[in-house]
Amino acid sequence: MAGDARTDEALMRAYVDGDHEAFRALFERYAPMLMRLTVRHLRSEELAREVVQQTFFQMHAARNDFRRDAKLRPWVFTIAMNLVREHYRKKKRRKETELDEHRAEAPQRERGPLERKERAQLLRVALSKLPDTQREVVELHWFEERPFAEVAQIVGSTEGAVRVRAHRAYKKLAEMLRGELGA
Amino acid sequence: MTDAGREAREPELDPKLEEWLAQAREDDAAEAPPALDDLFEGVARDIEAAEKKPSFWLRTRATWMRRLIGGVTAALVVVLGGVLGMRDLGELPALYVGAALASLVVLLGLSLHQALRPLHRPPLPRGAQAAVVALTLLATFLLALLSPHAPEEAAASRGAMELVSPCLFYGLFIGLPVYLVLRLLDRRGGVAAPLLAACAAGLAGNLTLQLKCPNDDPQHLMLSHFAVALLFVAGLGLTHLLVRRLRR
Repeated sequence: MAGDARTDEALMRAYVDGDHEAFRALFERYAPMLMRLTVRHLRSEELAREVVQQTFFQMHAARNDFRRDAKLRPWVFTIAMNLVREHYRKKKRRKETELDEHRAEAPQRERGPLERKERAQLLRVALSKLPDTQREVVELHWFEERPFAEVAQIVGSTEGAVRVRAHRAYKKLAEMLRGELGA
Repeated sequence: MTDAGREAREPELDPKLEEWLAQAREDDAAEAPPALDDLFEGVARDIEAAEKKPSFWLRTRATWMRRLIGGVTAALVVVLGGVLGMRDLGELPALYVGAALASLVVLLGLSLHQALRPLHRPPLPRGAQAAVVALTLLATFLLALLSPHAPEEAAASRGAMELVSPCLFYGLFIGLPVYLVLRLLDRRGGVAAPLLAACAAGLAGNLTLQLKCPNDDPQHLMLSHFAVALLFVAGLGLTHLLVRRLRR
């Protein structure tokens, strides 16, 4: 079913009507995207796999809520982001622990041109220091290339509010990396 | 232009930061895709196991249907428990009766609606959850406090147990099926759904007592009507939280 030419929405409608192959096709389309999104958030492949599996499980449980004229991507991403938030809520202390780990992980280097890997690591550390509400907007808007209107739908806010969050997040990232961006 | 107005336009990126972010996005896209077969098998196994449970069938109904089932359950419980054998509400000031019934019915509808929130919507904000809980407790407390109590019915000679029973137990008995049905219909889990279900149960119990119980003594209302909502919210809600915490 990897080459299924139907749109996401057509596949979902087929699945709601009982076509189980359509679920597999949707899984093949969405699981890699959701893995990228959740690994970036949770920083653990194992946790990300759990969240992706749970997302598809919930998608199955909620399939009768899918409106036939709705877009599937924000629908699925909202379910996944809700699970990520639920994970954070359960592990409130995780963030502080992880930030400490990140501080330790951040490369201590002598001044000089930064390697691509080092830059990626510094960026990851800076992203992890953003408030959750700002980080999820950057990840959906920048990394998943979702338009602000869709990001707003996924995080349950207004388009104006997510633009403000993105603006503040990018400003904060630039401030955190000020010393390194010039290198 | 205000700061918020400036921020709400397309965000401006530091060119160097934009370069870093673009590289990170490229690196992400270049990563090897996950092994999908194992992952899919896990999902299929979970679905197969869940479908063996009858409650899963209820949970997979469309949200409008789950809300309808929850609403009909609450209505049936209130009608059977309160409307049949109802007290004469004409004895009470119309304003009090109107305010009591309207506030309880509206809050019951609101808590039912939010206890069965669909999965594809973000969770109810914490402030809104707290507001529903606070309004539930406040409304039931005020209805007890502001009772149009006739002085000749004073309960000075009554013992505490007489003030409490049997309304407290009846209210809890009425609310319990509402709580259980809402929990059966919930597919979201987390903290909010059980807490909102407890609010709905407390309100259903309170509404039934409001319709049935002829005793307007504020002490009685406080100890056995308001206490129904309090016990559901504080008791069941907190018990649920405690159980979840112990399971972790």
